[in-house]
Amino acid sequence: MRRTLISRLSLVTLGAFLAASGAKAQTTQMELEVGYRWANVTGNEDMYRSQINERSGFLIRSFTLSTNDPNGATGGFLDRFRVDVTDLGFGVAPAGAARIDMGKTGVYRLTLGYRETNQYSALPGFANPLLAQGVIPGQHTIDRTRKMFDANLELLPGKMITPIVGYSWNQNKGPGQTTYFLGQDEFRMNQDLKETEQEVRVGLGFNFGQVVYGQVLQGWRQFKGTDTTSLVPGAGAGNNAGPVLDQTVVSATSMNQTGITNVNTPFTNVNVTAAISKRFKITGSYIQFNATQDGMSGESDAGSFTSFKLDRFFSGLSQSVSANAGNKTWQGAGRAELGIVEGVDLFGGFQREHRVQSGTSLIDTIYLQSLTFGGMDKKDLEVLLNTQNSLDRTSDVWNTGVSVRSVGPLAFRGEYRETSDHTLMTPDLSEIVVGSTGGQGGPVDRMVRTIDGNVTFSMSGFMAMVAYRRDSASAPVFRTDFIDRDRYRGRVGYGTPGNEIRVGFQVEETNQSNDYTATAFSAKNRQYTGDLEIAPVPELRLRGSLSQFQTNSTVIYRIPQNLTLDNSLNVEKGDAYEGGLSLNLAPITFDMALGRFENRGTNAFNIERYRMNLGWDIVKTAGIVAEWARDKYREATPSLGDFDATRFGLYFRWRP
Amino acid sequence: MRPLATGGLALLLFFGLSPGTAGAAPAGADKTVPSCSDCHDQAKAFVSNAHARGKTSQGEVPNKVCTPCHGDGTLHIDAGGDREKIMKPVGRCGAETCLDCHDQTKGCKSGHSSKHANSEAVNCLTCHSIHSSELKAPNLLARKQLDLCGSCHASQAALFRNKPYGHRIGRGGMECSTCHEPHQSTNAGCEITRQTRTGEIVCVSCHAEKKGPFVFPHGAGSVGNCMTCHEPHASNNAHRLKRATVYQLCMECHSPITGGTLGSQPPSFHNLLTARYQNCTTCHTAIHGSNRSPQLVR
Repeated sequence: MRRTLISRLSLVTLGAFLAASGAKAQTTQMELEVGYRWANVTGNEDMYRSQINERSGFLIRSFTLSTNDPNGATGGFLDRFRVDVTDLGFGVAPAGAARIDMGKTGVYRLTLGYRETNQYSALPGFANPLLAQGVIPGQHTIDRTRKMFDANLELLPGKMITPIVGYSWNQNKGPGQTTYFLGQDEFRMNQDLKETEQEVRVGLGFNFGQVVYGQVLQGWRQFKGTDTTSLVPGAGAGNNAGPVLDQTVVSATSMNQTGITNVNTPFTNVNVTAAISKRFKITGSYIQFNATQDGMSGESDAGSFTSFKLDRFFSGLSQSVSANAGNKTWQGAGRAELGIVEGVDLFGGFQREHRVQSGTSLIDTIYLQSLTFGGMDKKDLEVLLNTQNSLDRTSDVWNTGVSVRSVGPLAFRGEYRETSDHTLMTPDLSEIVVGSTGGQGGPVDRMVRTIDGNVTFSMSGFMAMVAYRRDSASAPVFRTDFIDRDRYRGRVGYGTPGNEIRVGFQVEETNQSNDYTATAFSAKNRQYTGDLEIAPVPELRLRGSLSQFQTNSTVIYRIPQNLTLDNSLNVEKGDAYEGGLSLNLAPITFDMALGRFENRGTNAFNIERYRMNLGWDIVKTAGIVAEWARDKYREATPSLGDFDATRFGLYFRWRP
Repeated sequence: MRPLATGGLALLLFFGLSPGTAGAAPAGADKTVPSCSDCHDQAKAFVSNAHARGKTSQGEVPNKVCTPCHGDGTLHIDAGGDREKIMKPVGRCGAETCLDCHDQTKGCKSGHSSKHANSEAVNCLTCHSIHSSELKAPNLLARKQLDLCGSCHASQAALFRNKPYGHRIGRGGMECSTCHEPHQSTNAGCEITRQTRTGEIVCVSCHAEKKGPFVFPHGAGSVGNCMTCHEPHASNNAHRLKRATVYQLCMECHSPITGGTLGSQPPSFHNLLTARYQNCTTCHTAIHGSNRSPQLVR
């Protein structure tokens, strides 16, 4: 926390230092907003954090510094420097970022990026068998932070040869709760997760007189993950309150698991463009990677459990797993663009991707003091499972199309594409539950033919666009895959030359179906949106939008408990209203927005959102900003997730 | 360590940005040719513009920075600033000027065959404001990304603002262009979304732990992709799922009616009237893939 505080304040201090000391020598623009946000939540705070998660505390709301050397590239180590910071708080903001872009023209360019997101989820109705008893939240919760850092250094940008070096780091870390199924019961487990991926890459960009140009990149990626879980204190009774085989035997006294995963992935990424003439270009690309995973895990449980698979009771379990998995993929493509006359281009190409996934796992499980259901043979029982499975997939795409970019006010684009997938799966016997074919192994083939086109008309501020896409598939891979899919999209809009009025209306509809007798899948999605912006005077801008949406999907499924057939229906239906205004009466600015979103479908709820932002530049270089936000979330039933959250923020703004 | 690094960076910047000794002659030294900035404040402001990098001198923008887009302004100057005698790039034709240098046929990028190909309705100047970009808008974007993209893709933009479970666009460094390449072609294997450097779906560039490889991968991920179960933008359902309840999502595939489709085997035989079985992931916790459980229960 202290290090975070120091490093973030250092960033701001750096900006201030630069602005103060360098302003005479450089062209510098800077804006800083820093302050405090108060958050007040009534109702279900876990649900609020799962959706919005803005909390009380200090916050660098935004910081931008852009400076460059007005003497061009005549001296010094760099001639430009830009830093952008948004929403970096000390546990306050759910997502924040910082980015630095610096360089010296023709010598180097260095970009540094940092992002962090807090991922919080503690929902009442998710993984919660006790919801009916009013116990919330559910049994799967997380409070994790993902941090990502990325650095790229490009040397001699714009020259014939451009060396490139890069590094990325991505860490996902934090506690949570999960469940573990053992012995005909599920037990709540505390989980501690730490997953880190690092990537190093080196390469060369090249550009030979704008005729042949591209990039060759070689990278190495390494992933390390540790996952530790242990029984939540007091959760040994599990979820299953009922007896098993007329005996109340399912309970746990201790459960501990540790898993370690390492993945190494070298990769190569090459793309080359040959501009044979200004109107004829050919591009080729090739990517390959070879990911190999080594995984180890161990487990130790004690209690009283039942296994239907073994027809036995047992009092503990000890398991060790040694696993290896791989993913070897290559992807090659060739594409061409030919301008036949000014504004008319033909394009087409072919891509093949081939992937081989394989996995082996040696699982050694000892069931301690196992007892038959008849009460015989109290002994340890060791089960060894050596699994091996694989997947081999080839995907081909070829396409051809035309882009007519201007025939007077009209533009047109049309494309035909065929995508074919051939997958051969060889699952391990341990995976096969019923039968040896029919969804768990063997070949799966699917080809999709696509026609895609759009026409736009644009004249004197008026714009109209119509787009249509049709996909026809040879066969489904999953039951909810379409055989036929049609997408329509239209938009009309008008804007006055000075943007005093801007109005638009948009229609989108997607229909997809799979009329296989045993599936009867169909889904329809419609959305209509109208938006209007009016600026009656330059200082005032009013805006509003209204949209309606409806999604219906249905597919036949078999009800597991009675094996009869029924339709699985999912409906989303509702409206969204939004409105707002922006007022700029320098030195005072005011923004206001309000919106209401209602879903009357399967998961019915409504949300009301209110936002206000008031800025006052007290002097030319400094001012204050006040923000107010309120979100009201209401579920139709049950109402355990409802919340009403208000935030108020006060920030100091500095623009030296 | 970080404060030290930051302090070092500050020193580097202080000395690095100091003006060099080998300065070129001021742009306005030769007063026989008037400077664009004599009349146009926009030209003065251009000193901090990316297009002027390495070409400015002592804070002034030489005319050679303006001429690539506006042409030789001699007639314009001789006519006392006649607006008809200077080139002003607007619309599709104006944007062709941009493509003289920024022709992006590289990998999957293309200025000519993408869905945002340079047309009258959508062209470079629709999204990029060459002169008057705000301080907060990098890449000379005319507006914030969500507003900009939302001016045509209004329905998609509204999803992020309205739905309860969505990616936080506009905050924390996540923008539409994090997942979508606006200049992307759909030519032969190129999708409307970006790929990772290894050619994988863009989702795993952040959600790295989901890509495996696993000994027992979930078919929905290894043969389908993330969108088999999740809404990419925003959803009305928890964890951005496509269905309101978990079991409904699972059962629509794992339903033993006929073979031939992935997921129809293994079927589910659990009693969905029991609360314990209404959330499949309570037991099948390793839903994205597992090294030790074919049924993804651990």
